Amino acid sequence: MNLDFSNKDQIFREEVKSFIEDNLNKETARRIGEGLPVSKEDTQEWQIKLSNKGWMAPNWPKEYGGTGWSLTQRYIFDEECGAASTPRTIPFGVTMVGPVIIKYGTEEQKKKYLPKILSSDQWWCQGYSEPGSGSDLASLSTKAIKDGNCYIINGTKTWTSLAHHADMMFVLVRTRSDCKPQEGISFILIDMKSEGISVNPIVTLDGSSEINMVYLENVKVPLENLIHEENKGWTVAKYLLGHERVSIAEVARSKKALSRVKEIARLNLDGGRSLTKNDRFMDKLIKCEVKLQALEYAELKVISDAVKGNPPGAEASILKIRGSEIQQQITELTLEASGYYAYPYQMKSMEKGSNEPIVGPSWGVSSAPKYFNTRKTTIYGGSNEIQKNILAKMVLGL
Amino acid sequence: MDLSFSEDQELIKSSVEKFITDNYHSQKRRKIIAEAKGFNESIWKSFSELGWLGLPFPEELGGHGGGLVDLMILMKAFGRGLVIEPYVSTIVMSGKLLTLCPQGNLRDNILSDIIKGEKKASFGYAEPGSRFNSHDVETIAKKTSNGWEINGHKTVVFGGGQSDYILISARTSGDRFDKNGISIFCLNANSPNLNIQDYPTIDGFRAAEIRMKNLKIDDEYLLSEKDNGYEIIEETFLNTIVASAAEASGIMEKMYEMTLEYISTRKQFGVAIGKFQAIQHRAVEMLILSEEMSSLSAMSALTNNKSLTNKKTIYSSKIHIGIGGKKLGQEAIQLHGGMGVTEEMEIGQYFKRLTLLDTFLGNSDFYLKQYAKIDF
Ligand SMILES: Cc1cc2nc3c(=O)[nH]c(=O)nc-3n(C[C@H](O)[C@H](O)[C@H](O)COP(=O)(O)OP(=O)(O)OC[C@H]3O[C@@H](n4cnc5c(N)ncnc54)[C@H](O)[C@@H]3O)c2cc1C
Repeated sequence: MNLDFSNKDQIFREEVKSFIEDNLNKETARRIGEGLPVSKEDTQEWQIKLSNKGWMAPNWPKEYGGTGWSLTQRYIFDEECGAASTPRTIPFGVTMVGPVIIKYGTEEQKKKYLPKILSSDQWWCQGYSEPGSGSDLASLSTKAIKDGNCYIINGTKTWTSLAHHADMMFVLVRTRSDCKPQEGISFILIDMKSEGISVNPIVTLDGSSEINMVYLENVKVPLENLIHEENKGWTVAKYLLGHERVSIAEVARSKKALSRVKEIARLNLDGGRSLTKNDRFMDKLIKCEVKLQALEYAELKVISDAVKGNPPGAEASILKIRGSEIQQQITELTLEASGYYAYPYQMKSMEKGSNEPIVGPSWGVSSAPKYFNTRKTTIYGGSNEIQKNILAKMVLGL
Repeated sequence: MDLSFSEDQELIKSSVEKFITDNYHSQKRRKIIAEAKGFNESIWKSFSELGWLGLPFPEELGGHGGGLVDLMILMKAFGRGLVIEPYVSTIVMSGKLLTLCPQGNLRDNILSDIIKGEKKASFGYAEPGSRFNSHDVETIAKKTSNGWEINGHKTVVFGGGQSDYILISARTSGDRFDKNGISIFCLNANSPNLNIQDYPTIDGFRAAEIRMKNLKIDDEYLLSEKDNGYEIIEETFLNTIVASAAEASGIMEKMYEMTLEYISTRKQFGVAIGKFQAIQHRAVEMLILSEEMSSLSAMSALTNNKSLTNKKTIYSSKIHIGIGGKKLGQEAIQLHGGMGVTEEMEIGQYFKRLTLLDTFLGNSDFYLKQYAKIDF
């Protein structure tokens, strides 16, 4: 057991650093650092750079185009990306459906989808939740009925992140009803250009629109788009959720975000003094960092086990709970640091290339929107209450 | 001791509640927010007709002689209705500030115009470097032969772009942080060399950056005694906190009710989510937080002198907006699940206002410190 970096690791870190230095768009990095929104193009630009380098999928086995990195290398890579404020790779392809196809997909499916995830030619979205089925996902009612060589799909998916940018969507649909709800669900891939799909944006509290309602009306999907077996979708979904929950912990990003809060705290914001002189503020900041350190170790442990072939189980829920809370606390600290500059509504000046004059310091512009937006982290990916139910049952045995 | 409302107070309560129900539904509010001015003339007129613009002012100044309890009743209902008219900036804050300034022609005229609903005022106290320290004043007023010349920047002035008169604090002597040497001036919104950058705030109100560059005003525009404005500001803040705590109390009560309604109707796993004990305990905690806000708001409205005990009571209500309000707001959103983070749901609109009320006049950390200074 040790946390040391070998010489080889140090060399790897330098390689990552210089790759980022050479390839990351500085303006995009600045915007991410300040908590401003990034466009699909900004993200795509970065993903293509990663893809060309062969670094798109650190979590995939090497034979499928993964990087074959050690745990330490993955950790270093995430840390450097976080520190440099690179765009996040969109998780729906690489982190979610990719591992699913690798585990459950046919050769055909692997050939068809994996390369396009690696090259970032296809963007994915996740069609799980429905208006009537959130926490109780298994109650979902979007129906797929077999018709010749197709499924005909009808229903409504909601909260679908980035559906408006996606080329493909993986969905859970009901293929049987005369059984336990979990036993009648299938995992299917849908081309977003199919006839009968419409995507309506949902505006969130902070004024942005990253989530959508997706209506499916008699959408025809070829039978070969089924993953694993019919009515075995729940098994697939659970496998995927484990991956999702780990990725939601976002330790490297939170480290960067917290170091930014520290920089802000060092500015002379408080009547000529810096917030570092304000014990109440500093206590909150440090308590948050204490949690983050614990989370960092816990995340390493889960990845380390995964590398040894033990996929994340219920403990992943711990990462999700704390990781999401920490993300929220960090936005809360920035909001507090902003003082009165949390007030101005500056959506326009947050847009890329905007010339709107800003009110207050540039880092304050996004502070309240971020705080509002980040309420989502304890809700999505299985709400924190549901994670606690899982832990109570699976780990505590209650 | 009698903790029930008087007949008059019951009357205010029922009339403001009726007004909100009849005239201030959420679609209307959203329309007002989208309009250029950010308030509605006809609603302001109704406020005047209903006597609310004159409510907190003494009768000898043309007001209705209402006390803090009356103001609390009104503000609590405004909180429940999420009223975004510039009532606090004009009536509560500027009104109190003017009332505390020595009598004079200019002051009396402004007050009378405000009470009649013909003019609006705002008060600029914060500056880019001051954070919540209202004695940190770098705006300088220099004496000229027949008046004053002002240079400085007042930041996030609530209602600044909506008002005819902008009241500001400026330094007439002393150093940056001195409490002595701060004076209160009145500026006409259309003065030359006064730049007003008006913008919407995240909670649906409006604020402005006020920049003064070699702005010249006559002697009579010094409203306070020279150098003696700070105490007036402090008392104005205390008074405004009472109103703000009442607003927060209304918001919290309403958020609790909306959440209770939601968890009673939203079904998952075949039952209303309010059937889960994990949710029940949290909803109960929300109720308690809301009741605490209501109690502290009432306590602070019943303060009637400037004793330190009363100051502590008022600080307590402010601290609870930050700590209890933040908790309640976060829980309300969480228990709404995905619906909670949509712009469409009303709960989020209340959440935004409640969140920012913590910052208004200084956040809970700031008042914890002030409180500690009194006792220890
Ligand atoms: C920004 C955002 C992005 C999202 N992106 C996607 C996406 O891309 N794809 C997708 O499929 N979904 C997505 N979701 C949906 C997300 O997974 C759901 O919101 C989540 O599962 C909760 O469901 P719900 O919103 O219906 O809340 P509900 O299930 O109605 O829950 C409401 C509240 O009750 C609690 N609760 C429910 N059941 C219990 C219980 N048994 N015990 C205790 N508490 C309980 C919940 O924790 C929550 O606090 C997204 C959500 C958000 C907010």
